[in-house]
Parts: sequence; C-alpha cells; structure tokens
Amino acid sequence: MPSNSFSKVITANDLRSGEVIYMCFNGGWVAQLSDAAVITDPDLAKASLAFAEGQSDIAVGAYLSDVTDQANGPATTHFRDKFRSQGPSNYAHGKQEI
Amino acid sequence: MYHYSSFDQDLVTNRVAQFRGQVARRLDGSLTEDEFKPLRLMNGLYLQLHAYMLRVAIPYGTLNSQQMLQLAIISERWDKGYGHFTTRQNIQFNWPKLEDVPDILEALAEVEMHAIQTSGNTIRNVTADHFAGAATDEIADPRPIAELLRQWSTDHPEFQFLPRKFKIAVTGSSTDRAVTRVHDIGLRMVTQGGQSGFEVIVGGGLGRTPMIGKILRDFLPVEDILPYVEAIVSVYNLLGRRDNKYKARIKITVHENGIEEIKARVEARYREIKPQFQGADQQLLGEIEAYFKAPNFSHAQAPSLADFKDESPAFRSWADTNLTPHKAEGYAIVSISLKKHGGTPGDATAVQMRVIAELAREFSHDELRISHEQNVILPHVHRSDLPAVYRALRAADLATANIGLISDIIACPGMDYCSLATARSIPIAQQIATRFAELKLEHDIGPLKLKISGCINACGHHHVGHIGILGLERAGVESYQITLGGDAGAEAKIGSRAGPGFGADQIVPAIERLVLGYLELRSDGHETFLQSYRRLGAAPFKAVLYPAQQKAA
Repeated sequence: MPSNSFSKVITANDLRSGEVIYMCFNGGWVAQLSDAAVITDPDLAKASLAFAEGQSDIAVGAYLSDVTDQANGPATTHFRDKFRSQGPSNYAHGKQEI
Repeated sequence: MYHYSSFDQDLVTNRVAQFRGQVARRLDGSLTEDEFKPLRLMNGLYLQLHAYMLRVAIPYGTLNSQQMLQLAIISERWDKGYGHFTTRQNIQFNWPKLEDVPDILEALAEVEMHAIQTSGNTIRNVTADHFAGAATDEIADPRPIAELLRQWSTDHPEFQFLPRKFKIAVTGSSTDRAVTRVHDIGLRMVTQGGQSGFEVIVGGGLGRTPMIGKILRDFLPVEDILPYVEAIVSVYNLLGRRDNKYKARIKITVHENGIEEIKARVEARYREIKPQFQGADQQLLGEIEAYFKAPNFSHAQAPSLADFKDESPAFRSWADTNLTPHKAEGYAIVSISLKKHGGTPGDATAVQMRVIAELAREFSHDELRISHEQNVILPHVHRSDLPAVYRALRAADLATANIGLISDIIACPGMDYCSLATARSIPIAQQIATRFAELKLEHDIGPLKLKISGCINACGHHHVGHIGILGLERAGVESYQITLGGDAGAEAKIGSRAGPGFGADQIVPAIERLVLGYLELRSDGHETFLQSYRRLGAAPFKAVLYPAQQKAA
C-alpha cells in the first residue's frame, strides 16, 4: 500500500498499568501493534477515535497513529510510535517482556 | 539530618490518604482523566511513553541509609528493581501501576519522603551542593536553608498555581556545584564583614531559551531569606506571563521587564511583607540547623592516599577520580559513579541501592547525597575505610573510576521513557561511554563534562556541558546537535551551537573526532577541553567536527 494513503491505528495508554495499547477490530484493546485494527477510512477513524475517547475507564490519551499496512501487520511510520510499540532501548522491559 | 516534625508527618500522611481516595475515584469512574490528571501530577505521577512514572523528591539530595533501603524495597516490590536518579536530585520509578502508587507513597511517608511538588507549576524540590556538609570550601552547610525553603514552599497556598514551574538551588561554597546560575532562583552563600549571607541570583534557566541568572542582591543576610524569596516568587506570580507557556518562566519575566524593574518590585514587596516575619522563621531555622550538626568525626589516625600504594592499580585509579578532599581531618568524600561504561546514566539497581545504604550506615555516618550529575555520594568516609568501601563497591559493580571524565555523562531519559522527548539520549550516552572505554583515552582526556538532552527542555543540561548534545527530530529521524563551551560552574556559560546536527549513527564518530582533535589542539596535557576551547575559540573545533565542509571551503 502506498505510504501516502490514509492508514491509521488507534493507540493509547492503559489507565491501570500505563502500558501502550492499541484498538483492535472488535473495539477492544490489545498490547501488540500487530493485533491492532488498521483503519483506512478517515470518517471511520474519526468515529473510532471518539469511541476510544469514550472509554476513559480503560484508555488514556488515545490518538491516531500513522502506519503502513504490511503483510505481517501494521508498521509504524514515526520513530516515536515505533519506540512505543517496542519498549525502551536500554532494558528488555515493557513490550519486550510480553 | 532533618527529621520530620509531627506537622510534617501529618501533612505527608494526609496527602497519601487524599491521593488514595483520588486514585480509587479515578478507577471507579467517578473522576475523569481531565479531573484526575492535575491531582496525580501534584503527587509526582506522570504518564510517560510506556508507563506511569513516579518522581520522588530527595530534598537537597540528602538521604540516610533507611531511606535508600526503602527506595530499593519500593523498586523491587512495585517497579522493575531499579530507580533512576535525575539531574534535580530526584529519583524516578519508570514502571509503577496506578493502583500501587498510594502504597508506594505510604512507604515513602514511612521514611519521611514524598513526591509532593515534583510536578506542576509549583516550587519544585530545592536542590543543593551534593558535597554539602563535607566540602573544604564551604562557608556553611546550605541544607538548613534548603530545608526551611522546603517547608515554606510545600503546599504554600499562594504558590500552587504559578505561571510555570519554579526551581531553587542553594550552595554554601565558593565552588558552584549546584548550578545556581541556571535556576529560577540561585542562592550562593557569601560573607560580608564577617557576616554570612547570600548572593541572590534570579532568572537563570535552560530549556528553549537558556539564560544565565542575574544578580538581584549581592548580599542578603541569612535572616532575610524567607521574606526575600517569598517577595521574588510573589512578584513573579503576578507579573509572569500566563498567555504563552514558552514565555512563562521567570527568566522571561526578568528579560522582558529588566532586572531593575524586577528589583524595584521585589524590594517593595519585601518591605511590605517583611514585618509579617516576626521571628518564627528564624526560630524554625535554628531548630533545623540543630539537625544538620556535623557528625562526630573520628580522630583516629588516617592514612594518606600515598599510603595506599600497595593497593591494586584499580583502587588507585578509582581514588584518583572518585575521591574529593573533606573538611574534616582524616576523611574523604567518595563519589559513587552511576555511569558504568555502557550503562544507563543515573540508574541503580535495588541490589546496588541496598549496598549503598549499607555502606552509608557502616562507613559514612549514615549519610548519602545524590548529585545533579546523577551520581551518589558517601559524604563522610574515614580514609582508613576506603579500601573496604572500594571492595564493596566493586563487588556491586559500582566502582567505575570516571567521575568528571568524558564517560561521567549527564543524560535525561530521552525518548526511551519521556513523552516530551524528541530523540533518545540513553543509547547515545551508552555508545559514547563504551567507545571512549575502548579507546582507553579518558584519563588522558581529563576533566570533560558531556551532557545530553533528548529535547529542547534541556533536563540533561546540554547548554552547560563543555560538550552538549541535543536530540531533535529532523525530517522524520533522530538528529543530534552539538554545543560547545558551556559551563555549569562559577563562570556559568551557555554553550554555542557548533553547526548542523548529526544522525544517530554519526554522532558518536563526531564526538570522537572532536575529542581526538582536542588532544591535538591542547597546549599540554594539563590544558582541559574547556580551557583549550576558551583559548582557541570555536573555529578549530568546528574544523575537526566538519572536515568535509572545511575541504569544500
């Protein structure tokens, strides 16, 4: 898929653990970017973000993050989102412990 | 050291109970995130990139062994078994869960610690010289004043919603180890006519608009500290800009209004409120001072460092870099480096914190300091105990002999943890330290302060590094800008940008070129990097940093 087309995931931090989470197709939340729902329709993205923001008992600071849709799942386009999906570089903590 | 009064203890314990209720209401949905966020920030709880982060104040950098042990226990029980010491003498836990934070705060309160005002537009942890009470060049221990300011500023109703955060640093020595000139208020102890007082510096700061503070009063008697500082903060509270976050710090207020206007307003306010200070503050200061009496130093015969000639070369190398002369006969100040080559600057594991606590109890009159340079200090070690201290440190992987050298790098958490960061700091620090360890040149290079920030907010103090590195985003990748010639000491100076930034894979070779270039440029082996830079100016250093451009020109 060309990188200039609309392709987003919804991500946030888990209220209880603070962990990075992603919205999946059933509207629930998952820990891995590879399980996130990729949204290619701007109107659906807007509606989904509103839905995510309505779940403030689960998710904090939800936002739309740019991705490219790869064969093995979405891939981040910005290095900040990449770090969020992978955990810190100095210790095998966070996402690296899953 | 200071011990909480029942008033202090009640305040901290009540705050924990309040926060416990607030967390419960957030978790049961009674509070929205917008309602809860300012409450958690008032208690030092941030939501960062991967997790919550709890920032705990270490007032003026002083801890006893019990407190250090409790930090170790907290990190094991509720975090991932380590803590990160910061450039403002705080400790940060990077992985707490929201529901555990009230228990963590309760555990802190048990050892007279808290996380109050480690965030928000309030007066933050008052920092001090990390050699306080031990330095040879000290006029007096600055910590009683720092503790007085801590008590006065904690929950001060007038100063809970300042235009922006507010940082105070105090030093009692002629050598400025507390970076007083880049704080909102810097207090530097001086004497005049046999009386001790403070030079009051205002409006310093780093961040996107770095400024060296200006002298507001060249001599303020000690007894006027509280009304005078209150006058400064009160003038700032009214005059500081609230329309633009980037122009809200007092450095901008001073810059826009001029130091004379600020001085006139502060002096007027001071005259107005001074009569309200009828001696209670001085009585309290007297009580606080009693807590900071010097320990009962041993008069036992102490070996000189020359007497250690039979110790291992590793011990002697460590003694060369990590010891500082002490004001008491027979004693030394021991700096424990948290900058192992390849490690994360400022991090200590729970096991290491336990070892440090035990060493403080056994060998340092139960005292520890945390430095703004992210190291730990055993302030009062009898020289006869140095080999035993060294062996214990070495066994705990804490004996890196690099204090003040190029690998003793200050680095903020950067984009590995911080949600404000624009690039990573930690891997750059790790790679630079590892590279210079491989080159085996750092002792030859000598004193060199290298400081790295992962964004323009400058928590890593890059502006005052002899070599500063600022991580930014350029065209979708991490990019690192070098500044040269900064200085955090008495002749505080903001470094100058050397030129275009370097990519993440180019910054370490660039630093290597720069430092190897310095070795060629220095007049002799005694001329430090900063001295060479001051003597020669930026041009030859830029030439080694950007050789291709030189050729093109």
